[in-house]
Amino acid sequence: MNIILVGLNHDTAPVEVRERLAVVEKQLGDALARLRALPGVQEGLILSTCNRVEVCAVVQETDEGFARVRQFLVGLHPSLTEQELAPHLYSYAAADAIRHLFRVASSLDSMVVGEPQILGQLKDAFETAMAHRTTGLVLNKIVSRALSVAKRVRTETKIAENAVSVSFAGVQLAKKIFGRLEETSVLLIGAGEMAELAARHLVALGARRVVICSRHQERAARLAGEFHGQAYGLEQAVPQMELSDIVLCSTGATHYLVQYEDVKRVIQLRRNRPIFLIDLSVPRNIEPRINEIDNVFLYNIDDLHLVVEANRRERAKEAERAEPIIDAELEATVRWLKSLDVVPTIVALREKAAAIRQAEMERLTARLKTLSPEQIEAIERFADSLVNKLLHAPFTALKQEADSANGSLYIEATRRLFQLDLSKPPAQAAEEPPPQSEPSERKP
Amino acid sequence: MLPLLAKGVLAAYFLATLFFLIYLVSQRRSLAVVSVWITALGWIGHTLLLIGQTMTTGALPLATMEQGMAFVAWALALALLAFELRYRLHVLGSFILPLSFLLLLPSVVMPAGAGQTPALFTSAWFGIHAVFSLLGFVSFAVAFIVGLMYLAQNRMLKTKRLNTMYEQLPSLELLDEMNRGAILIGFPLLTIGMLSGAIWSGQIKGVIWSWTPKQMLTLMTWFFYLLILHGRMNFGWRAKRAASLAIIGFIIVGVTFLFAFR
Repeated sequence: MNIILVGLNHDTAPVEVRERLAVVEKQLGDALARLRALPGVQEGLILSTCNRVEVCAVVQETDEGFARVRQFLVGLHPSLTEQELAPHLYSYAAADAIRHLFRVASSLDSMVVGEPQILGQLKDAFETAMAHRTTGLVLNKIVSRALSVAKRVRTETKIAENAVSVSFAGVQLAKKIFGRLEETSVLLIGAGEMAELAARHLVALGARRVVICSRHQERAARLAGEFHGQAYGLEQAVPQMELSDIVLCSTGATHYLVQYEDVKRVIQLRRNRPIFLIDLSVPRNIEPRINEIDNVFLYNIDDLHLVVEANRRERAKEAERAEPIIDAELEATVRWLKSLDVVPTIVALREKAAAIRQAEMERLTARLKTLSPEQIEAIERFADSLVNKLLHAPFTALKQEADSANGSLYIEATRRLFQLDLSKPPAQAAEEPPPQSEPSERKP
Repeated sequence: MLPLLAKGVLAAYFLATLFFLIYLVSQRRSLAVVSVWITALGWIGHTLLLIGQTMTTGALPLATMEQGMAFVAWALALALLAFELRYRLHVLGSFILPLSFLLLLPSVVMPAGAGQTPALFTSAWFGIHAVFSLLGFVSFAVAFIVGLMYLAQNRMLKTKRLNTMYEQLPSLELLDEMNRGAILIGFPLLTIGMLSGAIWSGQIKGVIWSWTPKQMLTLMTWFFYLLILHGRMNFGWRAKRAASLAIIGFIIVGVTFLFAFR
């Protein structure tokens, strides 16, 4: 029983290759069945997202397994050739394969480190494989372990804590100023794409009121309808600021739409209630000097990019802290896998039987002090033969089944029936709701 | 026995301060949790200490400035534990506990002599006066601390330098809300403290108002916080201005405190 993983990701393969290899959901069942039907493949799982396609399998022979799975991947798309695909593929075996799976699940291998989607994608891939019965004891254990490792990484490091997109960085800043966003109202000046996206985040987090001031009447009206807000012309932008806590500005104007004196007046009308201005337009539409006014916080697109940059660096640092967690979990998993080997299982069972026999003999001779040496020898022979005959059939069966598809199952059952393990196999991952995290702006 | 307990409490506050400060720059949550537990232990010890002192002298240990400071340290630690339960705001500890430690320090280093407690300190009005005044002091200390936190957070948001401390600090809105709440609680406490002090003064001196620096400073403090509350309600003195005012107010309170034990 050997674990292998073959695949490619955003680092090793350009999108032209990835898109051809990607397995759409409808065909996943067929693909899994074909994978499982390959000679020597005992269990299989296919993870296919827009950033990676990976096959994890339990095979009889590592090298043969690699060749078969590579062949399988080439077969996924008629236009692919082995020569074309080979340079993009990575292949891992045994502990390296498990480590890679753990890192993928924990989003350490993602394009945006710490992004939350991959965990759900792996879960889906796993569920599909289970539904098609292409996974077994080993992959079930390893994948559920990977899911729990990912949760540990997420809670024990801050890998997913800080925003790594400009629009979400704006939302996080708003939270630092206003605390709960439920009480805030949002003003969109112009309706550029990024401003719309940020507004969408804010509304999702409960912003109370949305007002859109735009030159383009119908676009403003459409957005207002979507957010249950109001639409006005651009000339209403400054008057509307009095009642708005968060102002998102992105228009095509080439001059300052919002000027120093305007905001100075607005903040007086607001009786010093802080106001957060986000200027996403280039050229800028909000006079930069405004940031000097007390209780006014002005961020332009470059400021937000700097925040995002800092957050990415922070995530990279946190990713380093995740590696020891992965190492520890990997060690436990490898230990469990080792216990699935047939030889140590037979040895352990034999040792256990010998120990029981020894202990029982000692108890017997201590109690029956009148036994002659010949009688003791006879009893010992009897005990030997009892143990050996009883264990002969299980040993034979274990050796025979070890290399079959169900080999690990036999071994696991033996270890449990005879309680050969003191170290318990890893527990299943507890189901917890995922923490609130940054929505992705990428397609899956 | 009591001096040893006092040293133990001081040591606990010192350790907790140390951990809280490391937490502020390192972001290790476990440090803050350990720190909270040390604070809780220290506070229990401190409570026993205050009870012990009251029992040995027959009067609340509030007669000297060192004792007054120690009492404020105790109340601050209590406030911190309460905030911890309510908001889980570990970062407050990094600001409050250093103050608790510094306030407890003098009474432990220079303990009051075991002399006879003068009769005027066993009066019930003295007890009411001292406890309420000092609790008012604690409220203003909290307003001061969240004011400092507000200015720090405000500055980081303005200059766009978002470091580790930025992540630990709560939102401006919450800090402003806490500032308002602390002064709103502190003001009536100070008022009761001041009035009961006047009655106590009437008891021992025969006059309730005698133009001492203590009384005049207290009245000034009282008017200053009245102004802060009035300004917030009627002129929109909130956010950054409220934070600065709470800091100035606490400086006045500090000076008053120095004269209060004369």
